[in-house]
Amino acid sequence: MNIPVVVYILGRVMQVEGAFMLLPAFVGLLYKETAGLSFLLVGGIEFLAGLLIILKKPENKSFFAKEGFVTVSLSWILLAIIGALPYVLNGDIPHYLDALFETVSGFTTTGASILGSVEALNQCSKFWRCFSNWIGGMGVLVFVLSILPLAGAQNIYLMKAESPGPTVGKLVPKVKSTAANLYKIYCGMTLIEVVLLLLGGLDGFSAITMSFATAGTGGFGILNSSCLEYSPYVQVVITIFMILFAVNFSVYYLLLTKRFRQAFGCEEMRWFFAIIIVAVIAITLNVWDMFDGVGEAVRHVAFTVGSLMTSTGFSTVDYNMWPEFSKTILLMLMFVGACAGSTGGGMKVSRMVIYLKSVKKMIEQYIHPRSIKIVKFEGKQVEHEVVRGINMFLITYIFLFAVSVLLISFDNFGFTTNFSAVAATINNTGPGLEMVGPSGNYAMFSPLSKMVLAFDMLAGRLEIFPLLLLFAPTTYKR
Amino acid sequence: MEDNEDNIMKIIIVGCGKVGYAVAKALAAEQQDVVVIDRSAERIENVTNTVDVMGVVGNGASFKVQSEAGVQNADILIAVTESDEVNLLCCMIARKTGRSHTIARVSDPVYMSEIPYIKKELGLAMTLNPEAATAGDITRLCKMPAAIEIDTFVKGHVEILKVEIPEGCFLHHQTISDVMRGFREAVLICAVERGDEVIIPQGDFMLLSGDRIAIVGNQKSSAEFVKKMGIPGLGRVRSAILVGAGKISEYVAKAMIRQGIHVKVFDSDREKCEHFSVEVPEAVVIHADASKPEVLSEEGLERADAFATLTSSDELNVLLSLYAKKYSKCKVVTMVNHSNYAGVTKALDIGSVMSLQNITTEYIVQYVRAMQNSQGSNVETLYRIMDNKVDALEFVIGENCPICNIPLQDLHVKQDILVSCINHLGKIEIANGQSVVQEGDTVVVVTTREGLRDIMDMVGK
Repeated sequence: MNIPVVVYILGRVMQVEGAFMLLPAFVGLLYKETAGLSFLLVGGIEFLAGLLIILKKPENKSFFAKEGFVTVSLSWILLAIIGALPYVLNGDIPHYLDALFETVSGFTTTGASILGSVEALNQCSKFWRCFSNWIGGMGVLVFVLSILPLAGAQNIYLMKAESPGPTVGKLVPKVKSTAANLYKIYCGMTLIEVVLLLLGGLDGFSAITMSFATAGTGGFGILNSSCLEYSPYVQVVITIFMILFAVNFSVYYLLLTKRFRQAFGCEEMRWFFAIIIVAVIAITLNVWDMFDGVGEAVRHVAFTVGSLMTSTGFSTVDYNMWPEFSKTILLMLMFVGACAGSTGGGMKVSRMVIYLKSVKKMIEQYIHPRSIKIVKFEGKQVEHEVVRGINMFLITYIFLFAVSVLLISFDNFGFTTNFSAVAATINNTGPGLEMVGPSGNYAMFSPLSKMVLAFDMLAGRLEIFPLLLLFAPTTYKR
Repeated sequence: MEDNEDNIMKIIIVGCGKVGYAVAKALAAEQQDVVVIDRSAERIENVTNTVDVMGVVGNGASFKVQSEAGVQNADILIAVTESDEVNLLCCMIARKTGRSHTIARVSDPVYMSEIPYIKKELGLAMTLNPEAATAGDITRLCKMPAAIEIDTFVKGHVEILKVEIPEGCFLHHQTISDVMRGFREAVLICAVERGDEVIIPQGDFMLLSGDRIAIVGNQKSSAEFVKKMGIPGLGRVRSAILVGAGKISEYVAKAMIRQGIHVKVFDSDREKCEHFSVEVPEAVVIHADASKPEVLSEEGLERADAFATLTSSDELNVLLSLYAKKYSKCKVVTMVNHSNYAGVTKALDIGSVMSLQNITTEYIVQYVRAMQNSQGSNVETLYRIMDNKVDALEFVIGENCPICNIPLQDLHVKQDILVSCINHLGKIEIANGQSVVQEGDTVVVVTTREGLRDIMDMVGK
């Protein structure tokens, strides 16, 4: 493996995170909090350290899939390790392990928290939590790719390792412009949401932080009650944007370049919306008598469905109170997740659709053993390798899931709590059911369980394999 | 890099075989926006993983696939699949749907005489015939067997020869200025390849035997120079053996026969042999497996003056050429189409190495640069020499150009850049320190640097 290149890119990533930390430091300044200094200190040191690292340019620039995976995994681990320091330094989260859990949860856009009260935090820490959601949503390396000239054409491996979905394509011929376009769309949409939330009467700080948390489909709120206290208008805006940010970003690029037919023809997006609509109808029928009128029921159900399916994890009501049928649907939606190429988590709609189509193909082949059938998705043949890849993904996912549930069962909480905790972290959703439901948090887990869950969050965000590669001995052999 | 953002060409390449891949790589290296179309998902996967281009899987002749690749906004569409007909169809459809210039690879000899008609009727900007172009190079090499590579410049008025300095040559341990002082004809050593490195030499550069040097001069003077170097055993070519009866062989055979060279062609495929003997009746066509040594000796490998391996298999070509080099003193030309092996083949004693892609990419890069010309850069034409490691750029000197009327030795030309020759209204001068550039001249600048876009880029620190 070409270690100097990996180190060089890690240096770049450190610079970027260091620079990003100046924003919460600035927020601290605005609110005259001494806690802001912790961000200035950590960010400043990190930026300088990154600067020192990149002084030594690697001679051998060869960069392949292996380096891509390792770089991405290490970057994310590094981001979390350093990003957690300010919380400890300014005393908002006294234990480093908890701070690490919180930061991993932020960057992976999970939104699972160990905090009993978010409101007790300094403003700058609240801001950093939401901002980490935003950074992690589109990905740090995609950001690095969009602004910095890196090694060469093989950058595609970085993008492939970081961007979610079974296949990763480019919007435009160059990696750099593709990354820049993604971030332009991302920033543009975030800005629109900020404006809409301001119009709904939110103050600037809330509008910006809530937009960050929605854009990354992260789900870190700034109130203990998540989104309960906001006006219906604000809740509707957040619902819409959660869903929009979970749509494949190539759709937006197609819209921007006026290719409407192609954009609206996106098969994954159609499935995504179809699932949302069916889920909202089913749950509304199940719970409408718990609300004052159908309108309000639909609003809350749509918010919850949108929040869990897109892996955001905001809440307006405690869905733990809902009937079993509704809760089961919600749990299933967590697994389905968002579209590939979006900021959302989960297993991705495209994978689910391809699984279903492969099963259909298998059945047909049992009936007509000599028939030749090809799985098509988005109007194109899905290559055998891709099908195999996503099958392997499912198997690995189930293994990881099982091992995680087993490991956290030491804590002796109920099965629903354990199962949904793993589901909510590996799918980057955030809140689960029962003890880890919207009104609970993850503070009661033992340090071991917290580490397991943090690992699951990273594995979920990076779609497992990059992280597993880090532990494979062959990665480091010559 | 950012400041010429608007000047980036949107280019679609249909076909990602060896040629398509090489073209995509060359154009991506020029910072153009490239989209590659191929039917094979595997090939697309490969090209998008290693080159900064976007890939589309599908039939490039389909309107739908072309639109997906963005043909409506493309500047150039280049069709380089194996099939001439598909290429022409691709270009036709692109012409009808977009405003792009179209370039088609058309290499079947049948179409040769019809190229002007096809070009006009289909509105093609250019047709490429890599096989014929390669054949032209091979024939030229046979005229000057001492050279490893020959390129012509300034509409054929200037030649660049690449030759290797043999053991015991008078050039060994001489600086370039010494060599030039001792030689009356106007020639210039403009690039030296030593091992894997290519150097644009200064006057005090010390030559060694084993170096491969590029010599600029007119035909007569460079021939004189090469003769003086005394490369052993290579005289005029009177008979040649070609292995492989494909398209290239057909072009080579036709050209050689026109020059009175006796041609023998080997192929193990009976049908190909028959086709060949219909097309080139003057050649001796031998239906036999050339990979059997006794077949080659029976047909007189030892007595042949030139031996060219032109089959579609790189491995066979290299092996046969090694064999020929060992048992014969003839001029050997080897076709190696996997450009990734350029570094390896150089180390082998297999004579001149030819590849279809190098020639094709050279033409296409030339065309694309010329198209960009109208939008900023004033490079007239571009040639790539020394395995594409050196660019030779032709600039036109405009009005009030600050470097006019100053002897070259007083200009502070940057390292790795050399003015090789000056065209004063049709009179070619091989540049030396006293040469002066005037308004209206064209100059050929040789460089290993990339991104030279203006004549003024070459002076300064």
